[in-house]
Amino acid sequence: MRRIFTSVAPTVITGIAGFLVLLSFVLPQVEVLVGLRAILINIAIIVASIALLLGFARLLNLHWLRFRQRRSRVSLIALFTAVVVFVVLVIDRFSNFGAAAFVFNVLIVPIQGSLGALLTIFLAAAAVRMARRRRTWGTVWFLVSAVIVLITQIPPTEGAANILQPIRDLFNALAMGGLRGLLLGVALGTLAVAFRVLFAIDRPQSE
Amino acid sequence: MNDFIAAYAGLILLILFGALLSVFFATFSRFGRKRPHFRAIPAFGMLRGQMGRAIESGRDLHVSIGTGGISGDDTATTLAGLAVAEYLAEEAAASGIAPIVSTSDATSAIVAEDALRRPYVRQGNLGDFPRGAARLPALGPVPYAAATMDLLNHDPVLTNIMSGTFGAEAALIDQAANNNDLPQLFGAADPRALAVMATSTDHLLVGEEMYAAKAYLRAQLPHLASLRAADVVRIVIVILIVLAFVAGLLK
Repeated sequence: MRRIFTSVAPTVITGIAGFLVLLSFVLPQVEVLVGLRAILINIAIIVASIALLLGFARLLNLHWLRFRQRRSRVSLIALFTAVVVFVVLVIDRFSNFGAAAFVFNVLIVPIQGSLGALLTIFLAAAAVRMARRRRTWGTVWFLVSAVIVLITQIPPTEGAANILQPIRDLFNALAMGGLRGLLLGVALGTLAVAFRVLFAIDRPQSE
Repeated sequence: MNDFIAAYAGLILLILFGALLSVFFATFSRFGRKRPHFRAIPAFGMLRGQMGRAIESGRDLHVSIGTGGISGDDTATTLAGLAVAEYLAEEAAASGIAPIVSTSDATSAIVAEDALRRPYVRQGNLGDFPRGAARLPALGPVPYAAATMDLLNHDPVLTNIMSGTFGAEAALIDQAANNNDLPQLFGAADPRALAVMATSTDHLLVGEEMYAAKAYLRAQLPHLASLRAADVVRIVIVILIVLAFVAGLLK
């Protein structure tokens, strides 16, 4: 009996829902299927919302445990901030005094901006690390193309731009070819995973 | 004709893929002893025995399945990343130690917890399963990267494995891993993340290689057949692209 709920039912429900959604995309002229797709997507949104609530509780629990185990003091700050922001946003939802915009503009955007700025330094450090660690023609190619892309992005003079732009175009053409090959592989990989889930070869949702 | 192809290309591809998968599955089943050969991907070799080394050293394996969920465009990528975590959990189940799996998506966290629990159920020692092995340290890609940096800096981690949906924020995690001299394995579908990580590790799973994790790590017939089918479909698409290019030149 347990197996029906933990294995058979999730697989059957996933298969049927997957096929209906797939058919609704393949046969958009059949209105019943399009209607069914909307219902299934709404159900998925509700389930995802519940998962988000559970996830938030899980996040608080994780940081509380990490603080108690003295793994990280940052976890206490994360915990405190998460609770305060949650309470403020819930109050804002009913009283509408603009706290949501304030939290995003004053807290989240600047912090993420700082991390973004830090990212450029880390990227430069990573490039230097690569040059020290792996001295191959591939590394030279990688670094030269990075420097040319950087210079052509903000050319120091018009003359430099005129000289470097054809080289940039060459790199762009090569990168575009590689990118298309990569995307083709990703699309096929996605197709293979989707196919395996649809036909219950892979069952990530059941035992 | 062109309109028909544009409208039904996905369906044609799906039918072709399904037909090829069936053919290869039947062929591999019939000649069961003679398994098909695929090109070697060294990154998968690095995974073998990692859990044993983690248990011996008393340190953790950190597996990040990225920032994607299981209800959107990133579903397949997240599931592909999860295959790596599941493989390591299988290795660990007998010892009662599970890898630390982290993500920034609530739906992925639930599925990851279930994937880690499954090997314990199969081996009949669910009581040993360390609950909360799938962690959700932050919601959103950049906060997640910051939280993972904190984890790598403060927890005793042996190896950092990242396989799933990542963007350029992977560089933040990479920096923390490098500061702690951690070996890394990285798999992603996003060219930005791959470009960043190519500077740090030789163990890269580039695009399609990540989706082949189950076939390489478990070598079960349906997965091998799907991998071979994808290879054949790729060749067909490449031939069609070349033919279209030549036809365009001749026009």
